[in-house]
Amino acid sequence: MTGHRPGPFGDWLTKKRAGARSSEGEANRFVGGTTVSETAGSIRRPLAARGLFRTRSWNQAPAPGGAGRGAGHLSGHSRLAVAEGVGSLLRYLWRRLLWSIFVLVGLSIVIFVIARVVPGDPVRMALGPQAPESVVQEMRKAMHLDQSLPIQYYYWISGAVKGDFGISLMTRQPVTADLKQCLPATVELVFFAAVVHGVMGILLGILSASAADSWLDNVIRLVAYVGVATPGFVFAVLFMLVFGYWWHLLPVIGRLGYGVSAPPTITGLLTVDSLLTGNIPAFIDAFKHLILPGVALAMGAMSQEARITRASMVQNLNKDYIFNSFAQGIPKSVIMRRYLLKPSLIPTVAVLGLDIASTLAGAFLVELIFNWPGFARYGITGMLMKDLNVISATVIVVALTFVTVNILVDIVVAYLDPRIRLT
Amino acid sequence: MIRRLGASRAGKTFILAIAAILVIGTLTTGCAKTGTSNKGERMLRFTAANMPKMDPAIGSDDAAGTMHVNLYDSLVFPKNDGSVEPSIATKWETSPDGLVWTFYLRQGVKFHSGKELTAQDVAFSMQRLLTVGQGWAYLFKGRVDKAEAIDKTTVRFTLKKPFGPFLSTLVRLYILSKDDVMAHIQKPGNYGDNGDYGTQWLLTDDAGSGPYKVKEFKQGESVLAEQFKGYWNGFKPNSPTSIKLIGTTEAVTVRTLMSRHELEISDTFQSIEALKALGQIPGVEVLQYPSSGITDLTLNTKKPPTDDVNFRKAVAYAVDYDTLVKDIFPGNPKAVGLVPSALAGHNSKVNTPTYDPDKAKEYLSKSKYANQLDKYPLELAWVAEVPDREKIALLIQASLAKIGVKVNVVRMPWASLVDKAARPDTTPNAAIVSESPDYPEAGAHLDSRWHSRGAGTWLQMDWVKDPDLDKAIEDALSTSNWDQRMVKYQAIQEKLMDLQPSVGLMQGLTRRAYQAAYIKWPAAEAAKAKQPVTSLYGYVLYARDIEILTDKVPK
Repeated sequence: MTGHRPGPFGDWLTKKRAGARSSEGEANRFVGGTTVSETAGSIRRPLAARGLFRTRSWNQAPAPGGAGRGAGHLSGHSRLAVAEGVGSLLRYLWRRLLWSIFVLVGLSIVIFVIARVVPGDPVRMALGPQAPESVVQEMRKAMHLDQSLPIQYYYWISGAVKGDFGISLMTRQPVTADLKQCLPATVELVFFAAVVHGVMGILLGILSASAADSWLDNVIRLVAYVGVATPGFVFAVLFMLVFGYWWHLLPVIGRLGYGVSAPPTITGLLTVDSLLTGNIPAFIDAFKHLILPGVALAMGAMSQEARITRASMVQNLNKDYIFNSFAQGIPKSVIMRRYLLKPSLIPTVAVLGLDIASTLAGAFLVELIFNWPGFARYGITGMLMKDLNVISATVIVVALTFVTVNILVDIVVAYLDPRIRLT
Repeated sequence: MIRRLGASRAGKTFILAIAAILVIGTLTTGCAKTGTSNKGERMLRFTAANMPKMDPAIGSDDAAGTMHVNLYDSLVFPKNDGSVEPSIATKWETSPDGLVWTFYLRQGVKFHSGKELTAQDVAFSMQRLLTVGQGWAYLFKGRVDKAEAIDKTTVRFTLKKPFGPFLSTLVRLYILSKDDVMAHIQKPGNYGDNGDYGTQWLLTDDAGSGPYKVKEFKQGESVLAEQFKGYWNGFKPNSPTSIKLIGTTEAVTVRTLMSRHELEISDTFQSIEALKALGQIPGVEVLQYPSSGITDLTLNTKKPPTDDVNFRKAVAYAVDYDTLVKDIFPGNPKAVGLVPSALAGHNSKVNTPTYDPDKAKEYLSKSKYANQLDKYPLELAWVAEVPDREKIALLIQASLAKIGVKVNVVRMPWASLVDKAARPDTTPNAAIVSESPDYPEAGAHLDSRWHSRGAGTWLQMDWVKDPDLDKAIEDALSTSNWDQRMVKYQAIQEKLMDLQPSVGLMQGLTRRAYQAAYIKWPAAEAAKAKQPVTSLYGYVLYARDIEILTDKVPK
């Protein structure tokens, strides 16, 4: 099984065989932006612990009492590891939660103060230059803008913890009601974009790594370079030009076409709600409306994830455990899927989470171009109009998203790479 | 070295995947629906800078005004020449002292809810407007003492003091159904027993009797309104069956929608370049017509060096107006005086500065800053959100450089300008602004721009605050006799030119792209015939008068 065999790995195996022993030593590797010190054994241990290797690890000492062989030993070890893992995970989550609350409170104070000290009288801007001064003063009073900053903050935070972010000067509706309308629109868009850039980015990365240095790899890398360097709104304009202006293939504004009855609001996500209520025409129409803005939003992140996945896979391909797997005659597809892809996805997943959060924050121009009634557009318009309550609420929501996504990413990365301990 | 894992196989997979995506995409998307209608419907779609605040007691901008005129009726309706004609009021009379106005209402007018419109609804609408105090309230607040229903079809307004243009301002008193509003109030609210006075409900719905009624309000996206079949004044055979306001002014979006016949009339915020591109779409024309607005250069009369009248006059004579209206904004007429020429009472004979560098230097030499110009550079602000204004700012900078005045051009966000305009010491020496009055008389512009009560807002960055001028404006506005009022307006304009608190740059010119191939639009026809177009914003898109010829929509 380990003999010289023809195929794509033939030359590589020959070279690796010659230097196999020397590669067992310590080596500093740069994986996914992090330098780690690893040994061949340290790679194999987690693989063995997860049952990826059926045989005992090279560095594994025999267990006391002669019970160190086979599945029984590994199973006991796993139970202990799982218990330890769950404990450390809970401790980690608790610490992160406390830290997150601290971050959110700090951020709320900073943004609250900044929004109020930048130039511009929000009430006068909202009511117009001809509104009687008495009316302007009444509204200032109603918004507590006649009070000192600490008192204003007290009123604001008291409401915010109860989900009341005050009234928007821009829409004259409660900010919470506005968020209920616009947040699902952006969540749907970002989720769609996340699926597109997550799936397509990883697929393109795998494809590129699988065909490393071929024409296909070069094409994907070139496209990815362009994708990373090009802002989302450029893609938005481009897509609108191609699929809206020239070809009339897809709808270009809004979430639902005229004449299509909207499904009853359950989640606020039109595609989900239409499916839940069995309204297939609405689902198809809502999906069509998602395509152009969603893909435009996904392009940058997709390109980045494709590049990272490729780089990570190509790097891991050079590692001893992969060589060993080939040497043991494990089929290439299994090696790719089980041993190469999973560790190679660690940096991608880490970036993926941040990309999702960044997409939320960066959706403004895409929403503007496609007249998407979303959260990003609402927030930025609020900032331009100096709508104090909108500014504070949207920043808090974005911060909350980043914090949550970061925690989730840490957990997923810890799952993918047992060397990373949640301490 | 890394070896390929099978480039040819991966390449095939890749190509197959792309092909599959294209096939699935084509099957699932098909061709997007374009055109004006679904099965005989005639939809009029237009873009606006923002979503409208549809409550007349809350909103008063262009988007709001457009929806108000289509959703609500008013006692009188504006004509293109600036006068008014009967609408819900069939006739009216006023007391000799001009303090009491009595209106007799049309019978049988129904609200969208089916309830009949009565004098009580009119009185309620005025009272509510004054209580909420926003939107169009500033036209009536401090002027109207009370509104009362005399009987079912007679309503009486009593003014606190005579107000000559009262009849003209009534085009902005939109009539709401009292019963419908009170059925939707939320308690507690800011208005005591009246709770929120229906303000929340009216932001997304209507209580009107106008030709269209709200069907769907999508926050941040669009408003859809459909024909009110019971409208008292009926419709034209090809009047739109529905209207849709789309809340975007993005050039690429507008252009795409126009090309797909999914937009009939564009907003007024498209740049000259964007309009040029729109005009190249088959069937689309760019309409331009004089608006009631004026673009001028305000000069801060309380801050050196613009506190010197000779310096201000030097600026007025130094600006190269020809370049401005011929090369930069072709089509815009040069301003005559400081009041929009479309308004009744405009003084077309007022002495208006022209481009004359010698005269500018002469005035400059008389200025107390003549020998110390280097110490007093002129700060000129333009609003960052209106990029076209930079062109004007740079032209003025170049023009003033020729007479030795240094100009610091400052790009200023709107919020900052509003903030700086609150105090004379923070207001820039000069700023480029545009303003459109809310009723078609010179008094509206004079009052908002130069009466001291408006000081501290962006409308009065010249900080004139002249008690004599205040008195003259108040006197003119309280004159009931039309002719006498017009004469007084004209006299005030002459006095203003002596003070030179601003420099009139150019008359407003509204530009909109529209689907000339299948839209019959009275405003376009009037503009083409060189006849006046309504100067009140909102009314130009009174949809009932517009016709959509569905058989002429290009395939």
